[in-house]
Amino acid sequence: MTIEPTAATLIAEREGLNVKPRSQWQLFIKRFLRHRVAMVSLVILIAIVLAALNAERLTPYPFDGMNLKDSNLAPTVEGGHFFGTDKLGRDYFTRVVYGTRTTIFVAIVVALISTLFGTLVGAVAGYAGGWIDNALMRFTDLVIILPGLALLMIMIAFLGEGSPLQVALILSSLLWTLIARIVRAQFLSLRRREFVEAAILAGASPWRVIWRHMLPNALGPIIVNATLTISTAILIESALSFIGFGVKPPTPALGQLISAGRGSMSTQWWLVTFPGLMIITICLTINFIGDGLRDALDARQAQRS
Amino acid sequence: MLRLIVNRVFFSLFVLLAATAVIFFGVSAIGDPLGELRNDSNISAESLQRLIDRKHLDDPLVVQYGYWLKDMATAQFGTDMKFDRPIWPELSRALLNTVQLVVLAELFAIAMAIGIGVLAGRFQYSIFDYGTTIGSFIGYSIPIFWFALILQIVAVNFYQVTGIRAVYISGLSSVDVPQGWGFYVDRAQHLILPIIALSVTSIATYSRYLRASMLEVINSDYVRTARAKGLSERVVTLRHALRNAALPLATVVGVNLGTVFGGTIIIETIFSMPGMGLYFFNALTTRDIYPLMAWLMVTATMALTLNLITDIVYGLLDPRLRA
Amino acid sequence: MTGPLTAPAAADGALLRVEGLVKHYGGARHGFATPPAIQAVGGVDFTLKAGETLGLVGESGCGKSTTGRCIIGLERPTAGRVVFDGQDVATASPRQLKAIRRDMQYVFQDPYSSLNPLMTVFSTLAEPLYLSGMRRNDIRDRVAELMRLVGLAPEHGNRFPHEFSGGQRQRIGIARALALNPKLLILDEPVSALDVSIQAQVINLLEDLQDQFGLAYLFIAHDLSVISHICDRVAVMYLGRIVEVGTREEIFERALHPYTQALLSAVPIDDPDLRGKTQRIVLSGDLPSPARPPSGCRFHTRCWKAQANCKQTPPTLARMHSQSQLVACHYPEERPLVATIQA
Repeated sequence: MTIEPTAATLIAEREGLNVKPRSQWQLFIKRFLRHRVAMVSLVILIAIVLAALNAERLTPYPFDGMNLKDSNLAPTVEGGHFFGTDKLGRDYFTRVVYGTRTTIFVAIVVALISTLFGTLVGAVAGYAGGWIDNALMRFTDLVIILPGLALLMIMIAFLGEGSPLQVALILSSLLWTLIARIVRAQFLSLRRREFVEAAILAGASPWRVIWRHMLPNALGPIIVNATLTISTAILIESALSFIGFGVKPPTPALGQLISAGRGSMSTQWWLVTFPGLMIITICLTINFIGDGLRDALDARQAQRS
Repeated sequence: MLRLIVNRVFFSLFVLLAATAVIFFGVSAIGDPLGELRNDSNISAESLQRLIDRKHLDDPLVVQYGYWLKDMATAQFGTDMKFDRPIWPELSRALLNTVQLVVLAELFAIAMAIGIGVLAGRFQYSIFDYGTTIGSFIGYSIPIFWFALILQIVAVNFYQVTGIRAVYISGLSSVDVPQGWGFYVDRAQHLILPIIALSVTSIATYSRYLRASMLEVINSDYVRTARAKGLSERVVTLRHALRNAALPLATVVGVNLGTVFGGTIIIETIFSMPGMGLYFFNALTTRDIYPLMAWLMVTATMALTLNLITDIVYGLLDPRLRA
Repeated sequence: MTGPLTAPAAADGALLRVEGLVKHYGGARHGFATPPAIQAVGGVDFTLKAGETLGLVGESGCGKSTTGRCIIGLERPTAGRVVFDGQDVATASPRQLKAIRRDMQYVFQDPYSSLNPLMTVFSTLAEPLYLSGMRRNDIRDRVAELMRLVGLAPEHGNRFPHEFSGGQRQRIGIARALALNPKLLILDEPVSALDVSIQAQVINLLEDLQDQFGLAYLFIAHDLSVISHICDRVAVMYLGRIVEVGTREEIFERALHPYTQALLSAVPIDDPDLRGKTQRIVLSGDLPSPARPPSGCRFHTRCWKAQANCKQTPPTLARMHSQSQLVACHYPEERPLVATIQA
């Protein structure tokens, strides 16, 4: 019985190289790093997040530092008011940075909770199939049937004092359905894959099959959709705080800033523009990163065969 | 086939009934109908009591549910709490206005998306393609309310600079409504900014979808056959490719409608348009639960009907379901 | 391997006995319509002895894969019994199934999806060993042994499936199935996805392993030529039923059922002198849908000698008086493939 070398080793031996086995994940990461737009976006996003987390150290003025003498200034370089000041003389750059911090906090919490819960529900539904799947899906359908934004507003109106954590929890209670659908679809198709059946035949328990075999193979779409959920959460959160049914003052939020600046927006354009640009930048970078992840993922799928 | 339709209708009615319960008990659980009024010092204790008697607010919740259902069926959702105005007339008017807005916005979005998506797919990797791709990404990342405000700023500045009132930034029609053609022009001027703001995300979504669809279809075998037959590229694109790429778009539109409808809450508030969105916003701000519940019922009914229609249409189209 | 619920081993020494196996899919509500049930397997009986190879042959959709899956327990039969080594598989509890699967394993058809792309070959082979409680050092030795058995270098254990060819991946699948020393392997079209030249290699490997370990094989295939030299006995399936069962010689040289004869007539002929002299049987009509199988004998819609009673009464699998194989036909007869043989 001949022992066959793989094609890769043959070529490698001929060229005197030492071939290292590359796992799917290594190929995936390598491919992602090559995606220029995604990498640039990643850098920008990290910069923004770091800035927001270190708001105290970064900003030249305190968040609430009123200075009526300097009120209503357009953006200038002198005095360090890069984003101008509002009608109470507070440095706008500072306020935007603090607002960004709240937004990022809510977005991360929402992403974590909705991904965890959505994955759990989707995995169980996709693996079990049958009536369990049906019941869980009817349940998610019920959540979808009533208009999301309206429900969120109602919940926050009656239940909330407007703390970022609470807003994040309420948002998660609706956004998990997106991930659940994706995970369920993935698991339904994976369940029929032969290596999953082979694992079952080898004696693996359902949890082992889900954890070791199905979840790692579904991780790609989960990650991509988790990033998209972050972007969605940011947009919804800022909309909610804009109309007053989200994060309430004194906790700063970008939507709030826009709402406050609305009255004088035709003259003091910077009050509305800068928070909006910040939201757009964050969401844009997240979307580009998500796109890069998706591309890297597709390449990995192609590599499999 | 008929059995399928009847089945589906019954199921939907059942879900609707369940929705009434969920809505009523859900809202009642978290909102006190008299909350706002109790804080209002202008209302005497006796008026309050009379209100309680009339609305049966002392009765157990289940009985109130019964009264609410009765109101829904016979008295058209009854009256609101604060001013005792009948709910239905205002709600139905709001509904029509919002439907007008949403339908126009979606039609606009679809038209734009077909144009953009088809061209981008046809001329893949061109400047146009890259440009519109970046545009869609921005479209996904823009907060609708912010974009609406920017549109208003631009409109106001335009007026200040040129003195021409090209578009309006609030309301549905002007106070002194002109006759005949003028009415429609005036209405268009009021609607154009909200429509643009409302359709941004839809355009981004649909155009990406169509582009992807077109790319898939344009390299497929039957399109290659059409080209080989000697048909011009234009005919190939429009007739063969587009038709196959467009039908699944209907699904995407259906799913997106919910989001668009949510967007009307924000847009109507910003542009002061008397539609469902503004109605909801006002009801919520005053914490008036009867208009709220009525609004939820109408919305849920629309969603269920839409679902029902799509299910039936798919049932007709999908040969698997035809025994 | 006996337990409280096992029947005593059968007197005829059959390792596997399938009786009246029926599997229907669907018939449940889909949305709100009720599509008809798909009768994938409509009553299948056969036995398999230890060390023997039984080929299960038929065209796509005839239910042979479903039969295999019911036997190993990946599907629950709608009716019928599957008795393996004295144990009833269809009603076994999960723990009993786990024990059964130490002695009966399965080789999948598609080498490109039967291995987890994210796990190294070593991990894939180690899994059944680990789950059966083997210790780490023993696992390492055993995995190396398994890889050598199927002709792969143990040093390549830390590679991933995508770094191997199709034929090699299939060998890995075979190695995995052999991990716990089973008595029976169910091979579901193990070479259908491979190039013809590789097919022969893998079949040779399977034969060698069988000689070495005394394995029994249930070899599921759609191609008669593939199984022609590995199988001791052959069962031919059509639309969910077995139409003929016999030894290799009986089926290939003295087939009685018209369907078997049609299949054989399509097999490429080795001897150039005999080519062009055979009559190729072309069946009329299309394969009926498993959701609406024909009445009586399911083959009657395409059979050239169908009579009235073929439409009414389904024939039973029985021994014809002068022959030794089992056939399910009202009018079985031999039909020489070659009209005349020039000496």
